[in-house]
Amino acid sequence: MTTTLTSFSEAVAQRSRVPVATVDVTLERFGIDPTPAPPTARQLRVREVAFAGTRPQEDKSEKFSFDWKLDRDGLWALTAERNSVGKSSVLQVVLWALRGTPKHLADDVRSWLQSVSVSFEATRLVVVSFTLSEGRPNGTVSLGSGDSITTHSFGSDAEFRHIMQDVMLSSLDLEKIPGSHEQAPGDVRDVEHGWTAYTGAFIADAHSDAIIGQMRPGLTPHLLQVFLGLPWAVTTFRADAAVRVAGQRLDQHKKRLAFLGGRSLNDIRMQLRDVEAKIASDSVQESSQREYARAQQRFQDSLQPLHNAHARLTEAEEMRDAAMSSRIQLQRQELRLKQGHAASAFLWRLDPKCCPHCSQSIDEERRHRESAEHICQVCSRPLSTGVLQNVQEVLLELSSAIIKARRAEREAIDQVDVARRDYEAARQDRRSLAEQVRSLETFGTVLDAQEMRVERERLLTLANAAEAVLGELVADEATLTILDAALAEARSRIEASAAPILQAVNDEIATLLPSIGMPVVRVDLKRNAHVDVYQPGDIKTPFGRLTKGQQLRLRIATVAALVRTAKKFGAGRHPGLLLIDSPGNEEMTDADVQEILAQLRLLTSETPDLQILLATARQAIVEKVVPSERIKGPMLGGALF
Amino acid sequence: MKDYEQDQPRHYQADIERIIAAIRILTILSAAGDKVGARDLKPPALSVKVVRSQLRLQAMDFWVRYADYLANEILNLYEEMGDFTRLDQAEEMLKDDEPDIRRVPMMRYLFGAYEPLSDAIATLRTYDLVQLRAKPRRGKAPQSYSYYLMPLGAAAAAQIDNNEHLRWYTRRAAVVAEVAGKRSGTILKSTQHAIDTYHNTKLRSLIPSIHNEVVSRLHRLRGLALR
Repeated sequence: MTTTLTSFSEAVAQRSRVPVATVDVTLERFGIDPTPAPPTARQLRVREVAFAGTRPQEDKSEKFSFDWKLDRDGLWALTAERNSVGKSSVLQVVLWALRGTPKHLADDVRSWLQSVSVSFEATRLVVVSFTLSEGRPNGTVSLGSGDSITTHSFGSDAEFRHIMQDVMLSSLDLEKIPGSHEQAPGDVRDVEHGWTAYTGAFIADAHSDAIIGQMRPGLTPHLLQVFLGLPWAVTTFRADAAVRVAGQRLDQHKKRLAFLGGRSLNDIRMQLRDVEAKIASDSVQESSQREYARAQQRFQDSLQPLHNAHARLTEAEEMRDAAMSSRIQLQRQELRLKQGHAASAFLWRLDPKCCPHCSQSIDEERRHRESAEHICQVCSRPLSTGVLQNVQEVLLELSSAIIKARRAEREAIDQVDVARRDYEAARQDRRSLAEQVRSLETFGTVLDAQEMRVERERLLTLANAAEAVLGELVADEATLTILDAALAEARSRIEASAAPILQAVNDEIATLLPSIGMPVVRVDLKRNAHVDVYQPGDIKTPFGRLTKGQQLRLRIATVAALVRTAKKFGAGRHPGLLLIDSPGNEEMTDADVQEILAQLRLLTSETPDLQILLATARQAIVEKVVPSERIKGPMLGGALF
Repeated sequence: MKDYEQDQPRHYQADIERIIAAIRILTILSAAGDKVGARDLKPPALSVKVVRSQLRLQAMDFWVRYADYLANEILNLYEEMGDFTRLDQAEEMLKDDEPDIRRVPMMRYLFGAYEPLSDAIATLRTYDLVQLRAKPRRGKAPQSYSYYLMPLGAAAAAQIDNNEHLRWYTRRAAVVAEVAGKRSGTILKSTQHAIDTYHNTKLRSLIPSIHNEVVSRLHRLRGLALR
């Protein structure tokens, strides 16, 4: 055993390139037990079925009871011509007692039952007795006989089921079948199929799925491999389940990592690098902050020069406007003086004709007095030579003043140009400084110290969390590598040992099938429980294409083959019990049924260690083929109980 | 700045304003007067032209005195008729600070820009250049006046056009007469009131310049015209 353990662990270590010690720890953690050889088959038999109860019958209730002893192996038959007289119920009561939980027992029958007692032989005598109160079982399971009887009590369905699981698995030296189950999308759980999973292989009826054909994925191939007694089967199952569970855990961690910041693993790693870079660049940040502070100071300092330049510009513009206004004012005066002088001279040359007030004509006397005495001919006052004095002198002065004013204006305009250039330069300077400040902000070097600390804390927290999950991921990846290697190793070992056993079973089935009315050339039952039948002419027919009758024959032959192979090679583990319900329903003619019954009898006689309980409505045929002491027939009234 | 006009005799200011106003009115009557006809009741003998409303005369005088407002009206005519030469005409009027140098400010009275014409008219009447006729209303002030240009006035206007310092008035009066066209005094006044700066000037305040606004408008219209 130690050698095998070492050898399996070493093989896994070699495949996964991990130290053997680590492999051992991982295998142990996941319960992967390197068990090459399964124990040999143990027999299970039904020895007695008894039950009693009360059923409603028109206006009253009617007591009933049933008792059937089956003291030997071979074929046993329950028969009654009519339907609904209890044939299936008897088989279902047997299954209830065997499983600790009903399988397909009709609700009405369950409600009628008051007490049940079924005796099994499974290495030792197992007597299951219980009463029913409001459908709740209450009873005992007794193990052994004579002086060494052990009794387990139960008072509920759950207790009953647990006790039967413990009792039957230990009695038949079977183990729970490891597997995995996807509870919800992405939620794979480690599960173990217990005793009830095995019992599916003991019944062939309209509901049950025996051990081959179209069945539950995962469980059915495992069941077949257990019953075949393949070495390394359980190790393979455990490794397979462990890989699924560990794989799912890895996925969950990846999802968790993805959830962190909603980024991929690579993003997180890049962010980690960013965090480190940011943390490492503290000194750069500090110098950047100093640079930012300096830029901000320069920006603030640039305000006063701008204000000064603006003030100078305003002042220069005011001076320019004043200079222009002075020049215009002088030009206005010059113009008025010129125009006034010209107009005055123009009018002076005209002769007054009348009084502007009374319109009376100016007479000759008045005209004469004006020329002789310089008395105005209109108003009679001393004549003035005109309204303007020193006109030419004033005009010269004005002309010179205007020239000066123009010069002053030009100088003022030049001053404005200089002041505007200064102002524009100051504005441009301030704009550049503002741009500098903004650019330092934009490149993230200006976050103030507080913001930088907060950002660093946030990134560090994120990095730590990412690192923690990464750590788990790496560990999970390592574990999964080991488990993958273990599964590959177990599969390679099971493949190596399965071939001869499967070949033997296939040969046995091919031998048995013609004897129960189904001629075949060969049968190809695979480890995954898929089976192809090659009928005469080497025509390949998969299980699903067989008729119901052929499927039943194939199942019976498979169980018989398992039992016979176990006997020959000491490798199979089927306990040799088969309950067949209503084979007549499987689209078979009376002749077929008669033939199959005859052949079943022959099969059981040729195959010791096989007990078949058959329920059928074909009473007449049964009575022809099965000895009367092996038949449980109807009571008076046609019912079995 | 020295005020050279202050060195002139006491009545210089009033005299020069009166004389120049007389020249202005004379040139306007000469340029914008209608032929005297049958509709004129008892016109002065030999009168050659007439402006039949003081409102029209005041409105035209305002445009002679305010080149910026005249330029604005020329731009209105441009927008109305699409004649590009109006843009050049307005631009010529606005250049070299002319509106500022030649502006003779007017006050805003109840009906807009107004200045009593009596001194100017009296001056012109003395030389028999112009005669005034009132349309009498019984017991009340005359309802309106007609301003007649006499043959001596027409001859004087022609002489003014030969005077280098005064011909500006004959030329500007001709422009104003062309711009005013046959519009009545009421219509000319309402055209001038359409300008906010004019209309919103407080009573008895000098009407401000709109030089900058008109220059901007001219540039805008030039821009649109060049597209």
